[in-house]
Amino acid sequence: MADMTAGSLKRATPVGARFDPVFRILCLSAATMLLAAIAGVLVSLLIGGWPAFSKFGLRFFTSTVWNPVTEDYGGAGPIVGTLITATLALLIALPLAFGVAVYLTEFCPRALRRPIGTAVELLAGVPSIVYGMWGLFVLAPLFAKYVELPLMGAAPPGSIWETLFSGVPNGSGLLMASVILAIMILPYIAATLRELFLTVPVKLRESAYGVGCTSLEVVWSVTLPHVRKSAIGAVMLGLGRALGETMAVTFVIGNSHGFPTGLFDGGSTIASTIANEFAEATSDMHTSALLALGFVLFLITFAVLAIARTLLGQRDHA
Amino acid sequence: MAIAAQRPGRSRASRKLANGLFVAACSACTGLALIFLVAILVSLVVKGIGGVNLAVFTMSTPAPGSPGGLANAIVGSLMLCACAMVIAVVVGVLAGTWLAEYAAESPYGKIVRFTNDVLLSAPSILIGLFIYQLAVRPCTASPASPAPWPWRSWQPLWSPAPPRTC
Repeated sequence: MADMTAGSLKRATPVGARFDPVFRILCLSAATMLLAAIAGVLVSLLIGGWPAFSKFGLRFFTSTVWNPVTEDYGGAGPIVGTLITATLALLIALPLAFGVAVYLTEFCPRALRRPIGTAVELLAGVPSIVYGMWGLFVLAPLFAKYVELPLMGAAPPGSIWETLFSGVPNGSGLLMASVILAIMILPYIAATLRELFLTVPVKLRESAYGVGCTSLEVVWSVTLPHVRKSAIGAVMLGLGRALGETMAVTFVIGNSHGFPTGLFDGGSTIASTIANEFAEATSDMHTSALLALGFVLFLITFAVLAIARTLLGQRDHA
Repeated sequence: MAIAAQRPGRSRASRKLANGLFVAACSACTGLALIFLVAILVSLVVKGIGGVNLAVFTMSTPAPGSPGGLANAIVGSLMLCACAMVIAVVVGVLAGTWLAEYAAESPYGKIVRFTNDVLLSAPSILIGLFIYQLAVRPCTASPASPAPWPWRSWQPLWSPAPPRTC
């Protein structure tokens, strides 16, 4: 009797087993959908932008003329604007983020660690349009008065500084956009760096302290070498965000199409150009030129994010 | 010891000074980040509190000069989020299940995982352009300016008789 029960139990298939293959296929198709989505973005941007690419050729990347009336489009202004603002933002945000991450892992009193960590993460949760409005209404006037005007006045005539600090000191411009971007990407980089610093084995750090290292020496000689590669990945992740940010930049960059001549000059990024003009694109060529810009942005961000992910490794996929 | 020994010339005082400056700089960075957060929150509250009243939540955006609120925008945001969540949760959970349960270390699993990570931080405006190309353009295309080739062939399938609203 007992044998029979055991035998029949063995043969009985679990309830719902028949649905297993179905479920597996469902899951597989959902995963494939993700892949199809990113491939779809790439293909649709290429197809949409193809008329502009084929009409203007290489000139699309070198010309700064953007004239919807004569149907002449060159993307150099927005492309360079994107690269400049993202790079400047990174240069501003990186030291700050590094400082925050080190402070949180090394010096912060235990009781404050959680609240300050949460506050920094809260900074990451602020919607980008709030950053844009805050930048335009609150920060830009202060920036014009206390940063742009003094810098323009202090720049020696004829030097490179005078060229760099040229423009209209009204608060909006490339540098202002970079500052806002820097505030936006700071929490992302800080949070990633902090997680990385926490992966350094305690034994290593404590040994360094044990032989009499100061905090600076521990960070510089133990923590940083240990996370070097992943840290570059974290930085690239921030860069990827800065490249594609739309609303915050659109508010404060000044939205002019020409090639930027100075840091206080109005400029544009690819994302801000698309946001400003797409809904009002007058002709097919205009739409196509915007889609072509989108394709360029896709390639830039994809490259940056791909490098970031490769450097960060497979570790943080949980 | 090893590290200190590498730089025999550095006195204890200079190392302590460098470390002090480092601690101060890191604390200042954190302070600055917190100042940004507080500044944003304070200006939102100070400038926004005067505009909050019951009408904001109960009335729609008015014509210029007449009273109204933002009820339409709030409801719109909620509807948008709800629809997006329904789609994203189903696809996301299924895809996540596949990656965790079935894909393991398979090459296809790696590709999906990698592209998904990239898609995670892809610029939102590009997703907008994609959806525009996919769903809006076939509807707005006229005989004079037809949609690009792949969508032209989809169009009958997509919307047999183009609805008037689109």
